[in-house]
Amino acid sequence: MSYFFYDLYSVLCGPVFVFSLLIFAAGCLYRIIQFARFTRRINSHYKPASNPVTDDRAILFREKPGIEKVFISLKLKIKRTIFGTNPVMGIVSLVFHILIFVTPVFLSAHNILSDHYFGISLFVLPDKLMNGFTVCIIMICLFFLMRRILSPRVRLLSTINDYFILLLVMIPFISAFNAYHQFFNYRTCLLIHIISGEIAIMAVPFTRLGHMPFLIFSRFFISGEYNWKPGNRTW
Amino acid sequence: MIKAKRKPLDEIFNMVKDYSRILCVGCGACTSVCLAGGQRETEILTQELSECFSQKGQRVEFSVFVTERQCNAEYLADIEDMVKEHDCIISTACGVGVQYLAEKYESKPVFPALNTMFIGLDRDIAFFEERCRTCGNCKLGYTGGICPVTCCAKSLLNGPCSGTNADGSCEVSRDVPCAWNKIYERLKAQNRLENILPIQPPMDWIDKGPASFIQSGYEKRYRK
Amino acid sequence: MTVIDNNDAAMNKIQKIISNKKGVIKLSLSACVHCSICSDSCFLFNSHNCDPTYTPSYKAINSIGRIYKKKGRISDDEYKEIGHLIWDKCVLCMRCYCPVGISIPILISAARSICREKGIYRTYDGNGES
Repeated sequence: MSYFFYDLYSVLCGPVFVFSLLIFAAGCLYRIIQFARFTRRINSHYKPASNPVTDDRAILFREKPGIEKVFISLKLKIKRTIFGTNPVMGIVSLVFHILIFVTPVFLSAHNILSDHYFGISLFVLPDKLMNGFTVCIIMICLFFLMRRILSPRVRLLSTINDYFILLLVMIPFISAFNAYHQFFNYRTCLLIHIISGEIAIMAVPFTRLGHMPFLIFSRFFISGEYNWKPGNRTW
Repeated sequence: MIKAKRKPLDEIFNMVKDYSRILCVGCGACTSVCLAGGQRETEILTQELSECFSQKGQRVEFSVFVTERQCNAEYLADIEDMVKEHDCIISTACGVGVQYLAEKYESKPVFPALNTMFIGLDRDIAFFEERCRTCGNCKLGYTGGICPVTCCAKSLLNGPCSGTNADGSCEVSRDVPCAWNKIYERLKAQNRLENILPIQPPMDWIDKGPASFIQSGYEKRYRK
Repeated sequence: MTVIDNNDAAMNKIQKIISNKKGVIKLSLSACVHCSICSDSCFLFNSHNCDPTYTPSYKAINSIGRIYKKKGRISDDEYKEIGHLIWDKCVLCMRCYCPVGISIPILISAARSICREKGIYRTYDGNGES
């Protein structure tokens, strides 16, 4: 039994993990190709004849010291983003997306493994902090779940898929938490953690988690009111 | 569609500074599309105004409501109850919307938050160019789809003045192309030059060259 | 009444529109995380007491999403429902905000052009189909 576990463990951590990364990369590449095919370049050579920059909001800053100017404009700028219209959701989802990237990448155990298998390791953050981050992620996942169930506007949109995806994101973190604290059967938890994590990585380009690569395409390359960099492509 | 640009905040603030319950009515049609009077802009306006008021130490109640179209009685009826609870109305619609709102709710002061600019096309995001002066007598059929009323600085109907520069620009500015030069070139390419031979009776218009403007806050995109 | 007429000139045009826009429809529908954050940016949603059927993504998913899934072969009644959704509950002001960056107006305008082929559109004189 224990030989079987170690064999399975090393296969899952080595080749299967590499395979899942390859699937992830291939999926992202597929999405990029799709994106390039379905969009076309626009070359807008039109320039405005005159481009006067007027300070329409001068009254807000009149007779104000510099620091207060910055403060007021920052305040107004934040108010018009999601942090102004829906602050709870804005902050929670920002924290969630940062943590879901930071936690697995800078975890000491993961870095030890990657050092062992591939000879690469990054700097690590303390385990206690990571433990807190994991709890945070699980709590936020539960928050998303409750939001999906309780908020009528989200409930109306939700399909069974959305719950599955949320579960898929949650399982690696819950099993990691259990394995770290050795709450249940350590080995089972660990195997569940590795397998579910690898499935989650592979699922990114092909499911709703595809908003990870999609975000970059649409926000950086498409020309639109809300993009982060004026793009020159259109659908 | 109709293109509008927001008034400077000073001007709007000066109009409403004596009121304490202000209703901001946006419009979901043209002024939403030109990024001047939709949901977001109306909210931004109330945020900036309340910042102005709080700098003066005043507390003012704001409500925001965006109607589907302010030029339509059916949609204006949506705000009837809200109007009763407020001292004054700020409208982020075009001039038509403001006037209709003022006509419909005669007892309330109605203030415009936008300067209605022109009827134009979307060149790019937040970048618009005037194309129609609604003269009520469309000549586009014989001018090859280029409007001499809008695009010619003098709104000439019977060929260019003698102010066309050698590079085809208008004497008003090198940035403004001569409309009649463009009309000639296009009709020549389509082999339709006989279109502009008959004399057109004059129209009484006082106009300048085609205008364009950039919505405030989007200037950065077009910095040369 | 769930009659689906497949052998129609309109159906051919619908197929053409779908195949023209296939990429953006497919990619957008698969990237939508159903988060409903777009609802905050819809003025109709805000001015109708936060009725969830005004959520932009709901309108897109239940119009072009439904049409796309069945490749346009849905009953006339369903088309009428979709027409109601995209003409009466959306003015296509193109101002919806999607945190993922999906262009919802493109999806809804595709659904509108498909509905037009089916003769479902708004006439603005009170005698309209939709």
